[in-house]
Amino acid sequence: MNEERSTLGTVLITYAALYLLVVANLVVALAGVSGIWALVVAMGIAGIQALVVALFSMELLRSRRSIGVVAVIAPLFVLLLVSLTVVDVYTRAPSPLEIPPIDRTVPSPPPSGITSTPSP
Amino acid sequence: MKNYLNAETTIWSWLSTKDHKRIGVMFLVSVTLFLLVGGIFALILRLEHLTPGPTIVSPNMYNQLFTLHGVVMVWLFLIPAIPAGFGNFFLPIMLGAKDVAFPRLNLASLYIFWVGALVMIYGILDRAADTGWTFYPPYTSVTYTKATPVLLGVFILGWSTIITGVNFITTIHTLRAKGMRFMDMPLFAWALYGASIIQLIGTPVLGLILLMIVMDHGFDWGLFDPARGGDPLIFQHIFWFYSHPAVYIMILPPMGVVSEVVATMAHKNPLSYKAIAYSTFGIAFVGFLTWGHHMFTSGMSEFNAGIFGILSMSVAVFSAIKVFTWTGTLYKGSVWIRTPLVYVFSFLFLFIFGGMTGVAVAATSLDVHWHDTYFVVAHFHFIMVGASLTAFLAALHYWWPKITGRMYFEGWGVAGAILVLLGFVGTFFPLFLVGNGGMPRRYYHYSEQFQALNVLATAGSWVLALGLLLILVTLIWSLYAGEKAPPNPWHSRSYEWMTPSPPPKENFPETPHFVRGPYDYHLPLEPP
Amino acid sequence: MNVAVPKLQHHFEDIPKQAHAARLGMWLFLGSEALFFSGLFTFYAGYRAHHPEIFRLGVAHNDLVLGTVNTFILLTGSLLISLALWALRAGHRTLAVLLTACTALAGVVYLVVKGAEWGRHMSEGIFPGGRGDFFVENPEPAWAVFYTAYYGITGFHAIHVTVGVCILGWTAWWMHRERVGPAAAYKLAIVSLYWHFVDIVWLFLWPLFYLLRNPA
Repeated sequence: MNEERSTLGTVLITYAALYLLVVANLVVALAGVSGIWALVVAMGIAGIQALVVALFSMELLRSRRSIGVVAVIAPLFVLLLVSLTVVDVYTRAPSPLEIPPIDRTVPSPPPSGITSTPSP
Repeated sequence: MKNYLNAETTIWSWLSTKDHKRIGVMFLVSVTLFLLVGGIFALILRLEHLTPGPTIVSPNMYNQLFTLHGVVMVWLFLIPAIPAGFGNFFLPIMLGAKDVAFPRLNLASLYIFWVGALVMIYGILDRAADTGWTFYPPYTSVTYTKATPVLLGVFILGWSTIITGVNFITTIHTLRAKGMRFMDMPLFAWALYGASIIQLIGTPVLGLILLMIVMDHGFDWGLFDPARGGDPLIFQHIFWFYSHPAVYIMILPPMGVVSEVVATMAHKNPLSYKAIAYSTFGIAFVGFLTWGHHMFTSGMSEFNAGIFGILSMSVAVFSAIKVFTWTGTLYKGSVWIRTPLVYVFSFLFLFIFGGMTGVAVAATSLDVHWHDTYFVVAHFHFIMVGASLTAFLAALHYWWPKITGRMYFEGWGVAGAILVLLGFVGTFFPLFLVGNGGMPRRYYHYSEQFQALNVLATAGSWVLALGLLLILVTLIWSLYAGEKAPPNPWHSRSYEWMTPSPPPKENFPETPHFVRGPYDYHLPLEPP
Repeated sequence: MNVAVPKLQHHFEDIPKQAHAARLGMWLFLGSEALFFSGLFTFYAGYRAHHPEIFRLGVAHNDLVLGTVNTFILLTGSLLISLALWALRAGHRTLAVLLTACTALAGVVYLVVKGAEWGRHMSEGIFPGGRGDFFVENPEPAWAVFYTAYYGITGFHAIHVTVGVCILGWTAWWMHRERVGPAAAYKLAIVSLYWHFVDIVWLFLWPLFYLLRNPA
């Protein structure tokens, strides 16, 4: 099983990498990266860090497959909840209160689908 | 003869036990008690609906009653009943193990269940919540009633569920008898595995959202208050992410029971073991993709509504696979009609009805008419009662000999099953009709045109109550006057029948070596 | 040397099976904890989608130095517990006890820094639920939900850190008292799994509340 000795070297290299990734994330933010790329990079680095911690510190690499399945499935469901909720917010029709008021000084266009004007 | 019941007889030996069988029995007694409590709430609701206007309770009390009926039935009965009751008792035995992986955690799960129930009961007795079991903001954030203890009670109960899930999955992975592969396990174990997966993925999300609404209600955090930047739909997304898969927690273990009873009573191998096993995981995972169908009319985007509508229908595929497999197993089997199988026949009929109306409400264009009417109420009661409760009763009779060492009375068993079926259909079929006619749910008043069918539904509820009472009384009576049960009264090949009734404390007199599969009915009976 | 051996429970066939069961059980629990935090991430994501600019301003208003310091502290705690596990497996029990205690200490330092941050926000008139003078000066509704989400999410994470500190403290004492040797290292391993998980969650919270602050 995995109660054999872990190597000191592996621990030290793992954490050196993790500290460097923290610095990298900080540098990207301080460099002024913004918008969607800031999110992608920040979450991407965090994701890599999580992977490193899981594989090495949490010894996923040396664990049995059943544990690996757990480690893969849980984040997928986290993503599922977050993404479909965010998609809802982004794809909602604008709220009536945010639709600009109708300009009643000009005649309103006919509703779509009607090709002839009705007789007065 | 020494068995798990009389190995030690002090109360302390029960309260401090690590024996999964005793823990299972204590869960069974507890959930039965709460079934009665939730049932009484339901009977009062139905009495209130004998007339369109006020009948026996005030409007506020009506709101509290339907809230508590839901909360008690979902979290104090349906979720724990089969897993924590029968699952705890039988999973280790079916795997040839001496106990679950974490026996002390198992006992803790029982105590946590009781603590959660007590906190909830405190809330019930002192200005019970009136929010509906779904606790939607903004109302739940501002209600004058004691929502907090009820919410915290549910939160605490969630821990019990999570512990059970961890225990069962670990048990299945690490304590199977030597040589038993995953594909050799009894199908009930697969059902428990599937339900446990849902419990682990879903329950913590419920725990979180309930804590959030507690902060809203208790500390006015305004998390869903639009005046403070909030959005009630965020609550709904997070709530239903758990609460939809929760219904699969409530149906997978019953389906496992059906698989066991069908194979035994037809004395035949399941038509396809793999179909049942894989469809279990299909339901467990795909069930998580469907939660938005509870939100079709609440302001969610049409884009999401489309996605969730399609995904919701896909779950039915797995249920259909199971129904066809069970039916195919019964076909040309050596069918032995006894009470458990009578319940299974009820289950098949009612589950198909409930399931197909589920596919119907999954269609967004139809649901906009049915949402928040009695049509939906009838749909989910056909599954919760018609399928889940029915399978619970099937399990109770099927495994009664093994758990208690006594046979129940067959005549009374069948009578009870028929009363339950008739009472159930009488109660809930009319509700499809009034719901389709537009009668809203959770309304104290209703339009006069719906009265006749409501009276019929109330009459049905009395027949159902009578049936359940009859079952309770005759089962208890059988403990004293029932004939002593042999190890294998059903001549089943499943593993729990290879040990005495009731089992010894260590489950098997000697370490079991299973040389046959649990459904090897095609092989001749080996000498006892 | 008087070294204790873990007790084999009656239903497991051997210690390796028992150890694997403990590990699997902890991973399953952590999987469920990940889903607990998923609700919190959904809050943040859903509300940032609703109010992108105010959330950005809120993140910019948070103290980047304190947040980053906390990131280093938790990561160091994670390093220390990994070293403790190595030490115990190599037979250096006293070193393992010390390192475990230091990990707990790192958690305490994290909580102190977090508390200081919260104190600073409160002195600016920022309280949960949109209460406080800050919200009078900044009446846009989204400010309330940003800070309430901030308190709620970092608060729940801090509760997990606190639980971790208690468990680590208890574990250090247990290793010392029971003269635990390499054979029982799996018990320290499962405690360390929990601690690493708490660290992973913060590695995601730190960018969300401290780094995603730049104007487009």
